[in-house]
Amino acid sequence: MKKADIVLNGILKENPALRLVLGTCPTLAVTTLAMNGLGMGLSATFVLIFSGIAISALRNVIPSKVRLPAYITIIATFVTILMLLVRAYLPALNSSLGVYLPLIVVNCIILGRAEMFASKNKVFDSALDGLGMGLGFTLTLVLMGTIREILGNGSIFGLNLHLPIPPMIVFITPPGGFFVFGILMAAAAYLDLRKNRKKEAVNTEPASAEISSKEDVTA
Amino acid sequence: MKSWREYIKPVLVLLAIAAVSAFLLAEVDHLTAPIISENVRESTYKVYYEVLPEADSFTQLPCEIDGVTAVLKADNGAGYVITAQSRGYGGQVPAAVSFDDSGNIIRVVMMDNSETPGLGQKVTLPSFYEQFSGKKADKLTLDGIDAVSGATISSRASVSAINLAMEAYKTVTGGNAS
Repeated sequence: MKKADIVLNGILKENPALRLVLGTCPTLAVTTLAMNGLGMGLSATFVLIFSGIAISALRNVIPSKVRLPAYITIIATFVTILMLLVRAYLPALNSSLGVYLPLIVVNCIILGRAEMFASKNKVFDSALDGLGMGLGFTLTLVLMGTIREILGNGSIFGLNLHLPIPPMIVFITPPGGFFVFGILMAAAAYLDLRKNRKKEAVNTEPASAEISSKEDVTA
Repeated sequence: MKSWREYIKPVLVLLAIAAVSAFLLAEVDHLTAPIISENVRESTYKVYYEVLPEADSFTQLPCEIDGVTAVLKADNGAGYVITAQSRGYGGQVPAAVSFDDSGNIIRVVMMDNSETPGLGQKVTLPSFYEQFSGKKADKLTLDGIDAVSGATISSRASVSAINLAMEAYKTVTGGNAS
């Protein structure tokens, strides 16, 4: 697999939130404002990259019997480090993410990538996979946060847009979260499907061209 | 050597990982702990000076009322700052209230809470809490207050928190407030 493909993979084809449907809880809970989505996404990216590197580096040392407790320990360590750093240097982000920051430990995206990718691939590739997955997650959260903030609060990244219509409060409540999430999932599935169709079309064309050229010969 | 691979190695590997983790966490904690406690202290004192900028420094007074988190008297006689909280929709809704010597509210600031973002959390906007400035120290209700639309529970909790602060004020000053 090409290095760029590993990164791009996480953004659409295997987008953790929209295609793999992992980490749904923070996706729905923190995306009431675009800024929170960005903070959560970048926090998860940090943990994904570093736990990917550590787990990949130790993949031949950790016996498969104790791999899950080992992975969880490594992930929890990075989450706690992140939490302490955020509390010390970004106290505002800490208060807006609240309990979802420490809950990154049990975010299934992280353990999922440890099990599916980092435990089988080289260190650099695992870091790239973490970056791609993290960016895909961040992009989704920011997109969702932006849509919900504009519709539900009439602002974007905290800036009041002074929209002519009053904000639809339902979009910043949990039901509105599910609504936006469903539409984004459908959009991601559609984009992925369309890309695959195009690929198929490209693959079949040369084949049919070959057949027609053979026919030309026989004719 | 079966027991080595089956039982001893997994334990040792896990132990080593845990030991390295513990060391890293201890180092990071050592680095960040003073900054974190400074942040917490700063953010609480910031609120005190926000509601009573005239004060130079504060002395903490004891108060036993449920829901009242701190009672402070300004050392230069500028007044009192009382913080109290009341249960809202998503947890406690804390308020900081400053009083002058005759028991009138000078200023109210609603502190950060975990109410619904964009709804109940709007009680922390000045447009809501500035309505309480200059009110007399009688039990307040939502009458005559422009509550946050769609967030009656949070608005009510804010008023109860302010009322609790008043109660604390009257208790601390010996009930001489009008």
